[in-house]
Amino acid sequence: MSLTDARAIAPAIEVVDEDPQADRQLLEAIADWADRYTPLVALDPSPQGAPRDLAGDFGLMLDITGCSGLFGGEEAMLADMLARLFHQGFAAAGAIASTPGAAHGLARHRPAGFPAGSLIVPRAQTAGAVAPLPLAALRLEPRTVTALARLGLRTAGQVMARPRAPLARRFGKALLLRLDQALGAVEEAISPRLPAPVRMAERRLATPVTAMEDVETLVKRLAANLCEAMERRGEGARVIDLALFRVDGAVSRAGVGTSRPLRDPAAIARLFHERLAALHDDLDAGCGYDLVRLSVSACDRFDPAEPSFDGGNGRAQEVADLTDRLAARLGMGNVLASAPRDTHIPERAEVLVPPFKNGGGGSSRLPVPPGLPPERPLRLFPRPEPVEALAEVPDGAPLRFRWRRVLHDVVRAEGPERIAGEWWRDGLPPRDYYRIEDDGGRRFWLFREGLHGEGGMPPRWFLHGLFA
Amino acid sequence: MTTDARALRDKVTQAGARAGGAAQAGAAQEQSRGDSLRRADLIAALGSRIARIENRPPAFDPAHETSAATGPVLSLGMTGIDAMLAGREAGTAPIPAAALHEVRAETALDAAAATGFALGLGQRAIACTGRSRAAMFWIAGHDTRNEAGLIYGPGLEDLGLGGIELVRVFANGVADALWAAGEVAAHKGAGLCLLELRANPARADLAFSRRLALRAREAGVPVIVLRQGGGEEASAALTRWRVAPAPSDPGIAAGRKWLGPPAFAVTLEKCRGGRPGEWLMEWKSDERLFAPAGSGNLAAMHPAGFPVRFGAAGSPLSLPRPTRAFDRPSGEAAARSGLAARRAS
Repeated sequence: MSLTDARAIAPAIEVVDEDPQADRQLLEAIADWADRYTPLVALDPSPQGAPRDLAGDFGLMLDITGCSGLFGGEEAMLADMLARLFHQGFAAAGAIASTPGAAHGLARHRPAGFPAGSLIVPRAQTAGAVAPLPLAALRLEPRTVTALARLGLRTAGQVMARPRAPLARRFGKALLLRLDQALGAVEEAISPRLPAPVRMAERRLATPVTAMEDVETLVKRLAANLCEAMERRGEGARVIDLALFRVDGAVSRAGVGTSRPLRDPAAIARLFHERLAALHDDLDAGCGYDLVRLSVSACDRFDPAEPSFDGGNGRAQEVADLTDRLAARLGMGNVLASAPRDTHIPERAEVLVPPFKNGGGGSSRLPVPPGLPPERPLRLFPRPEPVEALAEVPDGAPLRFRWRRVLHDVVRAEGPERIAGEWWRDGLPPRDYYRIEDDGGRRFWLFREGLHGEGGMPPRWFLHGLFA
Repeated sequence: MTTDARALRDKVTQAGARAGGAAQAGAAQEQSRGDSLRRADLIAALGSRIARIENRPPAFDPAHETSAATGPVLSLGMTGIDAMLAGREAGTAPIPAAALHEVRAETALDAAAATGFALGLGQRAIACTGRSRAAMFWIAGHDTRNEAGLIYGPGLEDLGLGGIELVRVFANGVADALWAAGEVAAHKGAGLCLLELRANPARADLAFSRRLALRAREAGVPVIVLRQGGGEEASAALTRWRVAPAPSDPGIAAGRKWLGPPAFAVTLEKCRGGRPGEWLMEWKSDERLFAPAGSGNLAAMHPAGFPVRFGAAGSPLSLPRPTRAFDRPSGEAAARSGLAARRAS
């Protein structure tokens, strides 16, 4: 129906532009919310090129294997899910089946004779429930559906009754694969949005909590549960995630990483204390959280540290605790240590990595001979800063230069130290570095980029670092 | 102390009972001495409590010199300053290493020199506290990093400071930086807390510096506040050093334009229990200590080492260093690739 036709029928109709991005975000938010039922939640869109059907495009696939018991059975679980969605203002239909294919079709195409609303199909009745479904429900390409309709095949049951070999010859393997997937003859895995956690502990609350102190208390209790489970397996957590499910469906997540496998509930609680303090402004408890979940998404073998005689081992662990706490509050990328790399390009010779990890490729830079001043600056600008420099001879050291609007007269200069670009990576022009001291005794590291007489452009000068 | 006095009195009374009336006068004398002892102790205890509140080493009282719990004393490696810092000069008290110190640069241009001095001071403090294996923490906000760049690992190595792990803590604002500094200063496993601030943020006030100083002393962590620009302000720091770069002294061939070791013009503006002063000093990367400027120059260390390499032209810009191929892989790497080539052929 075109917009004109629609306006002719109902002149007061409200027109809103389609916003696929916003639709997608909303679906993601609902998927976040659906995490409360199972950690395995996947987006379940209609196949590419299918006729646009607003309702059919927005599907979620939940793998509830082993989860329904926690909600009082499948029926209660589906009813709870649909009721909560209804209260959030969504019209939703759901189905539980033994295969993703059958569940997809049954949720979208309600066969005649089944009640509206929820629909649960036991494994034995899968074929019976799928048979009356229209072919479009089998996630087939629209082209195939049209072709089959031309042969008079309109439901899944009619296709199931035909011999398989001619169908495969005529319509390709996809048709039979989809059919087999719906019937359970071929296994199909769903691809969850979020990686499934290794361990998980959660607490459902009859009365939602709003105070952060209560949340922290809950985190500590959940951490104790998790640590018990990890202790039995000799593991320690490396990445821990906290999910707070708000009553109205919004979900807040916070994660912390640890520099060594961790199995101490108090330490985990301390990390989340800092993390939540840092997030404080972004967290809006609103009407409160009714589900708090703590999950471990990565863990390692836990080696109980053997205390050494001088206490050095224990001290190193304490420092790891400290860096974890700093990282929880300031962000993982803001607590770093240096790892050397074997390259001559100064800004690449050092990479910053999380502390107490042996990263980097090591450096083959020779130490400065004894008694000589440093060759590399104490402070380096990640981006060299352009300066205006005046040199005596075109390829000599600068006589004076202007950096940040201050003119410096060069008194001492050492160089050039030529550092050529790495031709196997990118064609950086060669740089001639000079160590320079100005009339105030300040020491700088300047370089001239490019060579004279190449490319027609005069070489440019940059300040790359400051010596002590 | 009262129990001691009572015990003393008891002992005296017993002795009196044995010796008869002749000892009575002696007992009375003992008792009065016990009272005066108690009063002196009370005063000393109060004095040290006040000193603790004021964050001042309780060493002004000569009677307490031996029992002063100052911990390891700060030393720079220069005899003159070290004698003063150790309290060996008349009228000075020992300055503990594990305390709050401040290093400031008058302008942002001098920030690199101040960083070098602060790291040298930190290295000395770590050596004094005997935590040579603990990590250093450098806490810096966006503004200080934009102004003077990041601390560069290879540069640290060249200053002889490569052996200690430096953890870089990048804070998004002053509040975060101060929080992180407090956490590090209170942590017994940290080796050094270096907090870099730009100018005088309002949050880093006297109360904050007192808190930091208390934590530093309790945990035994040297804490250095490195201030880029900004003025002097009241703080609980035991020492405040103003650092400016000084012309370096390569020592050999005075007419040439080579650079020498890092040199600083250091003014000790404030030193609680010590004596302010001014020095020109150099950082000795090999010994990891400060020395008076120009004391040990290249010529002294390499009497015949370098002039051979200077070249006939005597260009002032040639490198007074052993030749090194900067754009070639290292010897080890070259040997490895050579081996691979032989295998392939």
